[in-house]
Amino acid sequence: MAKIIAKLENVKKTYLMGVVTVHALRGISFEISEGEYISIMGPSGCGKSTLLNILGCLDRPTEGHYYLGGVDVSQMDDDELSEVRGKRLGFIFQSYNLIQQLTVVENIEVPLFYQGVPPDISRQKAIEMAERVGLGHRLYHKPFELSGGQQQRVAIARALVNDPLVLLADEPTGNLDSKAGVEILQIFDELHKQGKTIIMVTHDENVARRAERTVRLRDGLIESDVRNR
Amino acid sequence: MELEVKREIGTTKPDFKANPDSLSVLLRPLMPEHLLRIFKLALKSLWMHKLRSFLTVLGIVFGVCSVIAMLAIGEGASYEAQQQIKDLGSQNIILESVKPPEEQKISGSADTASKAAIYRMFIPLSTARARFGETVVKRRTGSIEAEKVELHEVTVKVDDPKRVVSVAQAINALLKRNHKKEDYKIIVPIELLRRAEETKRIFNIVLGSIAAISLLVGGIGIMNIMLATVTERTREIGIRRALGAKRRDIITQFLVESILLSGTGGLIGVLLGVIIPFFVTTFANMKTIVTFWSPLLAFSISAIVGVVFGLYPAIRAAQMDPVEALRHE
Repeated sequence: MAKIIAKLENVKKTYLMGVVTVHALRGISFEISEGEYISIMGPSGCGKSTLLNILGCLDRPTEGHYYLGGVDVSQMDDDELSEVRGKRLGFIFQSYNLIQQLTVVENIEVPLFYQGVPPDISRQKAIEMAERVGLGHRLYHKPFELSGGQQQRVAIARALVNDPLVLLADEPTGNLDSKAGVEILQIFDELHKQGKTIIMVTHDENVARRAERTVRLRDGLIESDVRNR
Repeated sequence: MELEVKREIGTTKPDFKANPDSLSVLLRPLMPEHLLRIFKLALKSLWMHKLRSFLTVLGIVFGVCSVIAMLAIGEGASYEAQQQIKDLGSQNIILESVKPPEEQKISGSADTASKAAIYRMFIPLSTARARFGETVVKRRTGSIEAEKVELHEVTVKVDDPKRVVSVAQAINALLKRNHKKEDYKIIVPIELLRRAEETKRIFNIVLGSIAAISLLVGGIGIMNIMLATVTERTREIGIRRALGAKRRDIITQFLVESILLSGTGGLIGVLLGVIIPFFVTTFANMKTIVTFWSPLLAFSISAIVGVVFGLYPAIRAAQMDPVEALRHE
């Protein structure tokens, strides 16, 4: 049995929108083992984004517990959560979310910068990562000089540079044409083979099927949790 | 199901004994090498909006350089005034005679030989001496100016500068008793000096207020631009927060940007503020003095302006919810 790397225990999230209380998550419990490749699916408004935000330590659950690497992060304060994000998580977004004024290497270096990694080491690591995603020849380009697929690869390199416990991807192929999308998914497959834990939110069945496990949400609850292989 | 703890998550409470690196992590924001990177980052961000940054800097430049230049001109003018007064002697009391209008009756012979007879009268020298004293006569075509040479000025020197004013009052009382008409004037340089200093003080207050207002305007400019920048870069803030930036990292980043704006403005302002008085001296022939402390003062105020007016936008940036910030278009 693989090690449990993340565990949700009856996680609930409610928002107060004016006078209306919105129950985004109504009690989610599941476990993620090390090296697993999970896709989270569901119609819009089902709580996918809320769940991803909680998994990504960007938000705290209203109720319940979230253990990441054996530590309960559900009641941590802002600084501690920042630390967890910077050290243990890697984010890949739909719209790449690169910082426009920085070059490819500098973008990859951002997580290391906030961990206080010395410049020479972080530069070396960033170049290594850029080469790993096949952008060794674009090191000093700005994001706007790159194609969507290339930008997303920079984002993947950035997500990997701090050697995270979990890689979180939010619709990573949503903004890409099918060819570039397939390339990105191939990188994901490769990472999975290398033993990385990946959680991917998507609404595309074909994309979701590439993961070994698919969790479906509906109205803030888990509708199904199936293994694809 | 037991949770296996394989890797420990870093906490914000570092254990110094176990991890020798944690002290350096704690002090990281203060490390020169880290600060250098933050400065580089701030420069890059400001460079993205060159015109905007330039105009903001300009606001501070004008503030700082006008402070220094105005103080230099004011200082020069008051120095000259004081120098003139000091030349009179600070221990002196000067009594000047003021000629009251006076009528004279004289008799003599008229010059009948020339056409200008009506303008000329010949009187015996002894009479003239008795009546007018020694006279300096200036002749010009058509007019004669005659000035009586008499006791014109008396300078009283007082040993103790502290008693100058009281002595002057005593002299005034004495003269008043002995002169029916007030045909004298008492000038006390030390009193003039005191008055000049008072004027200078008021002048400095006025200049100081103008300086404060112009720097305030510059500061508001910085705040305005930083608020716009923060809104514009909401997404970047969200990204940085997601990638591990703490609130204080965000505050530092934006604060450094605003200090960079105001500091650059301050530096250019000091340069211009030192150069402008030089031109004023050369072209307007006015004495100017750039005191040692005025550029220092102006520059440090500009730096403080950067911190004060940059703080609110920076805090606003740091207070953003990362989730909201990432959703921002």
